[in-house]
Amino acid sequence: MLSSQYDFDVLYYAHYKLKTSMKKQSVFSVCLLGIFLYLFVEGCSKPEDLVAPTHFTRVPKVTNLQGAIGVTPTGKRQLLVTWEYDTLTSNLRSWDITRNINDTSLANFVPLEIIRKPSLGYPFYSDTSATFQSSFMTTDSLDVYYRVIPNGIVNNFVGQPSDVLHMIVRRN
Amino acid sequence: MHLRLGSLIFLLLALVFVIAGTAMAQTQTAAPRDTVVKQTADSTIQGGFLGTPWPERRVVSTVLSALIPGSGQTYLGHTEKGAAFTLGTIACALVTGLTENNIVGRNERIGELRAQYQIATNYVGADTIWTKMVSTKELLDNNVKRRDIFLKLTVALWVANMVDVIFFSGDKGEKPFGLRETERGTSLAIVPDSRNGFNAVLTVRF
Repeated sequence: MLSSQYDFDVLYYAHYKLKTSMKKQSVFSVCLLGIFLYLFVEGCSKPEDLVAPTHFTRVPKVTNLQGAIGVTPTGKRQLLVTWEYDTLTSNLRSWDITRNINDTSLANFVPLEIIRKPSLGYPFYSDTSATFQSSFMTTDSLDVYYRVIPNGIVNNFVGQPSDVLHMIVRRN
Repeated sequence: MHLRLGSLIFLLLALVFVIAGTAMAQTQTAAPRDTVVKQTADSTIQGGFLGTPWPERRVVSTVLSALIPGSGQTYLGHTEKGAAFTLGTIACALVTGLTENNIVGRNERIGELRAQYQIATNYVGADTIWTKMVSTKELLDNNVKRRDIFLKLTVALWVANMVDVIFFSGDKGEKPFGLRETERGTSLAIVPDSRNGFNAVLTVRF
């Protein structure tokens, strides 16, 4: 029970201070929430973009890969492999010629020779291995597979390997 | 799209703060003798909510709903509606947060793959890395779509919660803590039945 007007005034003032501080805390909480929500929305991560793919055209591809079986002037059987490339692209040093006999798995291709980029015209590779001479063939035919891999100048980038060229060599 | 969504959210937030701030400013501070618990039913706001002063309970419920969606409705006595708002908003916010976490991770992954791609020395390796980048990018784009959808849902639920607590949730009155009008809980009873033998009865009151 309040005994005097003074006690009432003191109590009223204390209650008023409490209410005001509660109001300030409420406004502060709401403002803080607003800042948090705004940052929550605006702080979302932006998706990363892909870079432009450069590995497709970095080194010119091998095109029009062809092969022919013939005989050298000395009578040896010769397998001639020819191909073309984009002569406008300068990032090209040489080609690796790989071969596989009677086996199609890409891991078993054996490197034969490095063909340097010619100053004029298109490159070629002549294969006169003893394996293909009739006198050394133990079977009636051989399945020969060739694959050409270009090599670039910048960073020695190994370009896209060519399609597999399949040739059948028969014993005479 | 991101910038427009952010601007819209900011405008909505500013509108809510203006309403809440005006209501707080107009709330009358009661004398000590007037703070006794009283039963009031304040179902409609007459003459416009900005024109008339808000009771203290309405201000508290508005602030509560701004901080925790649904809590204001629960405070005013609409428990089911409040629970629905709370669960819905928290679920959408959770999915948004988890998807944002996935996006951050996938962004980092794309950054790593980009660095590997740039130092690749042969076509086969570069092509393998490129394929991984493309598939990661697809997943990233899907995550971004999902995050944006659930973020909009979260914001929409929060705004709906604020509109509901300000305009459509009347004050059902303050109840002393622990007092229940009806018996709540779950009960299971086996009731004998003359025709069927026994019946099992499950009752849930909430």
